[in-house]
Amino acid sequence: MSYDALYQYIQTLDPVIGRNVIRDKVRELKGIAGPIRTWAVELDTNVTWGFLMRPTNTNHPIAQTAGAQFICVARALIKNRCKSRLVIVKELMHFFDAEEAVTDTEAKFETLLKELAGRSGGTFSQQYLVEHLATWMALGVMCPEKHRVRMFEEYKMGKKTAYDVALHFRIPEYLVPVLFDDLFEPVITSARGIKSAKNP
Amino acid sequence: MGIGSSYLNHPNRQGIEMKTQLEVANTKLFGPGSLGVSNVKLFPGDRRDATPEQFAEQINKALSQIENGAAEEIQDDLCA
Repeated sequence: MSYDALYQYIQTLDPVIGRNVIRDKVRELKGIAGPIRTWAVELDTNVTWGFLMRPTNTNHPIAQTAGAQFICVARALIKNRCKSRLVIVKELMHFFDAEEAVTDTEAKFETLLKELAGRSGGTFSQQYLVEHLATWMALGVMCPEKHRVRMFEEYKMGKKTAYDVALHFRIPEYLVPVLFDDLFEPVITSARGIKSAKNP
Repeated sequence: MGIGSSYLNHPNRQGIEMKTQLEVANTKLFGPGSLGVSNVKLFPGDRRDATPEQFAEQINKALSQIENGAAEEIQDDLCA
């Protein structure tokens, strides 16, 4: 199942959309047998806020502890619920990555890290492009459309500030301009059309 | 000259070649007997000049924390 099914389900809910609600629906839609676990770890937030990992070798000691699909979040972000929620929900969006966008080889992994480090050489891999797309997709399921439109109207009329909007949806304030960007609707429409990879 | 420096200068000394963080990560994620990762994605941090080595280092450290019982599972809904 695709992101579209999750998006449509979210439209039936009112904010605040719990990250566990999103996680459980992702599991259901993708037919994932085991839990999607989330872990707080020490990470340098200057470098990364967190990551998703999906091991196929479930006998490996790390997979035995962390699970067959897990998300790590920088411990320093845990007190900032909006940021830690964003990391988790953004990483959950990668369960809808298209086949050509998954990072499943050394070469793809190295390319992704180089591109994240700004060493792209002008072209970008599918792995890198979905890193950005996933943030928009995460906003799409944390901010149901009718609520987003209403908040945008109130923001334009001066009834709401960017902080009010962020607080309403429990998202980081720096993402409010993305939520109200002209491109938001077309990007989400495009994401809803992506055919996601089958589960390994 | 102390014992340490004479050892370091010994003509028969063979240095240990340390693996790069990227090599360590690749071995853990994709090498023989590894996690066999089918997808890995990262949320970039605050700085835009982080290097591939620094990204790999953070992943390696996180996996070590999980392996050594130093990671804590997050249970709540993060809505409040």
